[in-house]
Amino acid sequence: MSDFSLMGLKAPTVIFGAALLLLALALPPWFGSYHHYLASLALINIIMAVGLNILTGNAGQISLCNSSFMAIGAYATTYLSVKLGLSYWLALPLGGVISAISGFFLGFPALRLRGFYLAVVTLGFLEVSQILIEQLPGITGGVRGISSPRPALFGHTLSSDLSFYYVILAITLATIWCAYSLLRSPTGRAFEAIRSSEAAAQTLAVPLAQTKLAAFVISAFFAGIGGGLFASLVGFIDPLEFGVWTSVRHVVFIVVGGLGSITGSVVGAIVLTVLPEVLRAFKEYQEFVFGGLLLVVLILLPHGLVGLGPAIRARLTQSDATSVAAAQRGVAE
Amino acid sequence: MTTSIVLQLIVAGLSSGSIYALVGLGLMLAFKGTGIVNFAHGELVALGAYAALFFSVVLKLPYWQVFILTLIFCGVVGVLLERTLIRPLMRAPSFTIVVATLAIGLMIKNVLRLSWQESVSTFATPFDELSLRVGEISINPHYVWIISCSFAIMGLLALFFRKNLTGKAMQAVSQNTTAARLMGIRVSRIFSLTFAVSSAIAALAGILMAPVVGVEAEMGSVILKGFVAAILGGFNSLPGCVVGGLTLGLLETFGGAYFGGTFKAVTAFVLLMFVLLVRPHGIFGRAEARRV
Amino acid sequence: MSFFSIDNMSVIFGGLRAVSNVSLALGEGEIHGVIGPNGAGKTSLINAVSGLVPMAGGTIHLDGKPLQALPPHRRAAAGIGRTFQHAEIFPDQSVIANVMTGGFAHRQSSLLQDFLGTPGKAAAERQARREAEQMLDAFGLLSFCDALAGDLPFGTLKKIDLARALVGKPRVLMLDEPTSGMNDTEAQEVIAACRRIAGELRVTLLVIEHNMRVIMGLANMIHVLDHGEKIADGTPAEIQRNPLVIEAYLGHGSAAHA
Repeated sequence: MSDFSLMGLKAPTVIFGAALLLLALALPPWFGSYHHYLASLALINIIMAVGLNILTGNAGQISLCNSSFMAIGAYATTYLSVKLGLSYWLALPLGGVISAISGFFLGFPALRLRGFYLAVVTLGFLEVSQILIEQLPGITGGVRGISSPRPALFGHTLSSDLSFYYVILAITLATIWCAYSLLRSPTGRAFEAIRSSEAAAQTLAVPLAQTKLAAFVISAFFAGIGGGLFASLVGFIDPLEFGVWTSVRHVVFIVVGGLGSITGSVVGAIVLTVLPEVLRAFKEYQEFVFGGLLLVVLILLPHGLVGLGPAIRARLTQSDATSVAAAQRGVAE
Repeated sequence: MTTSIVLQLIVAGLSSGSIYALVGLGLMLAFKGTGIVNFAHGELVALGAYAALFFSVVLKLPYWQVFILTLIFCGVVGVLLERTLIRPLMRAPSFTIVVATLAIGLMIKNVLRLSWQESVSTFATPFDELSLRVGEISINPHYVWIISCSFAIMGLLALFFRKNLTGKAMQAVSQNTTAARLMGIRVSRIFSLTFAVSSAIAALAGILMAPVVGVEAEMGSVILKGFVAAILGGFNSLPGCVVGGLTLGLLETFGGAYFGGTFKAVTAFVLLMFVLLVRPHGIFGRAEARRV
Repeated sequence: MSFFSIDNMSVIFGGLRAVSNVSLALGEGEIHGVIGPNGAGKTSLINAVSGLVPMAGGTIHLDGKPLQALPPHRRAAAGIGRTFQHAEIFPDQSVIANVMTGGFAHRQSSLLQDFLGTPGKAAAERQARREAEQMLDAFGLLSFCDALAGDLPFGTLKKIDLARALVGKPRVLMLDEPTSGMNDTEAQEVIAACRRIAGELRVTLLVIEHNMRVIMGLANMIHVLDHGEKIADGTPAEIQRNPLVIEAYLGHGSAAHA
């Protein structure tokens, strides 16, 4: 096995990432608008998964309301740019910040709760956010929804799916960069520490409350940005887009891809955005398929798809070792 | 506001409150018996409602037979679920349990939606034709049936745990599985029984709810109200859960009548936050001293 | 006043007095041992100093400053370090990441820098890694750097726990049975490394230890706990002669290893 590594990344991850990036940059012009749209959706799902994975996979906080933060970002971005006439490029990060602020407030109860109590609270938050969207038609368009036009860049409206795709790609790459930097920093290690052992973390000077709040804030920020992009990609949003099903899908992304791993978030989001499109004939069974997939992965692949690589490698080296041993035995005999 | 309206609101509040208490009770029972917080419990409520709909509309059985058959059917489904999917999870971390039971719920919901495509979404009950009047005030007989039936079942459960040997065994298992096993209790049977009873209670909530709200796959969202009821009771006391459910039902109904729909909709969440932050061991619960 | 002192500390668990009016005082750079039969309250004592369990009464002072009102992470930041009886290593992380977490109190980058991945953060990260590697090297663990901590044997985890605590440059370090799970040679090596680093960094040590040979050779002063109360203190030689101590051990049916 080679010892090649780049910025602490293992060779397979680097090769995989580079190949994926090359494909993402070079391929789209050869495809049609529908595929650009689908690829953009996959990128937004990557942003959602990366954000949720930091909170759940790394910091160990269960959240069933990732779609609420997505909604907050989507509606805030739309409201600021459409109703208040702010530039989209200002409205989008502001949407992320507003979502992050809501994450901060949701983080407070989380300071005292863990495990399934937290799951219940986040489920409750999701329900409340759904109701608020319906009850505030002045801002959100209520149950009838609201349209959210494509932004302009340098005087050109990004009306083609291809041009908007490249914008989303750039933001997705920035997200991955931030997540990568975060996980290899004192803050990221503090997240891991509070997940593994709150007692040990505290005796290493890690403040529980601030660290949990930081995880909620960062995760909500990413979800807010993803939501803002989603609104203008789809062009129209209503409360149905941000229900419990969407939250659960985000959880499926990270569990199937691999908890606590950025590569896992990327793989999970891509596979599970493309899969339903391939299995279009089974659209009615989507919940069943996702649920079943979740169970299978939880029981058979606790490290998700990214856990497959090392597992296979271990199996291969093991069989190498046994065959070497067998060969040696053969010589001895 | 006249007394008649107040009385009607009380009955409506108690009726939705007893549904919440039943849902909470089923959740609590499964948790106490097996350590699993079942996020698919809401879908078991929906399953009960769909089963009743099927027995009533397709098999054309009378209400009482529908009632009994549905409870038995869902009890059996509960046992099957426990044996196949829940048992391997028993010692898993809470995240795995939450996600796995959510997944089970999704699958049940999908099956329910696909297997009932008919436009009919309610079934006949003996209370449809009934009219109940107290003086000048007319009261929905469904509400009265829901309240009395829930209370009867909750009373039976309380008796079961206090007097019956199996009930005591279930409590013993919930407190210390190993010790219970050493005492000769067949723990695995108790787990199955716990899930059977929990699922049957969920189904009961479904049957009772259905004529009022209609049968639909999203019925499972009542699980949140059940959680609030159970958490108000500290997640370990039967009377606590009943009082929690009724409190929530009354608050919602009166709040909704005075302050409108938004208030009604957020009551459960606000109550949940209040209890978890101010009295994390529930209204009646006592803090346990824990040794680190 | 002593450099580090615990005065009249009590810890109560639902009616049970796990620690009862215990007082200790350590001068800077000293090494004190805490011994006593199982259930004597040794771990409860250091848990209370760390702030992981609440104190029913008493005070803790480090260099003149009271600590008893501070939350656990502030006590750690003030210079109270510790290791755990069961090592409490983060199993899903690499060994180096575990040890780097120990340096959290001295982190050189802010949350925003961590998030944005600025060059300053990258430099701080390299520095933190170097320090962690040096510490691992001191315990002969450098080759395990990138191994997953969860895959390693208990004895190795105990050493990682020590390295992780020392990277935080504590002023007082409490060790909870640092040599359990090790054979005698390994135990002597770990203690020697620990003593050397503690000397270099001027760390004051409070050590819980069952291995009498280790503790008698290491400590300047020994405190004996029994049923939550301090029944004796003195130099190792005094303690070995003290009839109360022998009674406490033999009376519980467990022979002293000495």
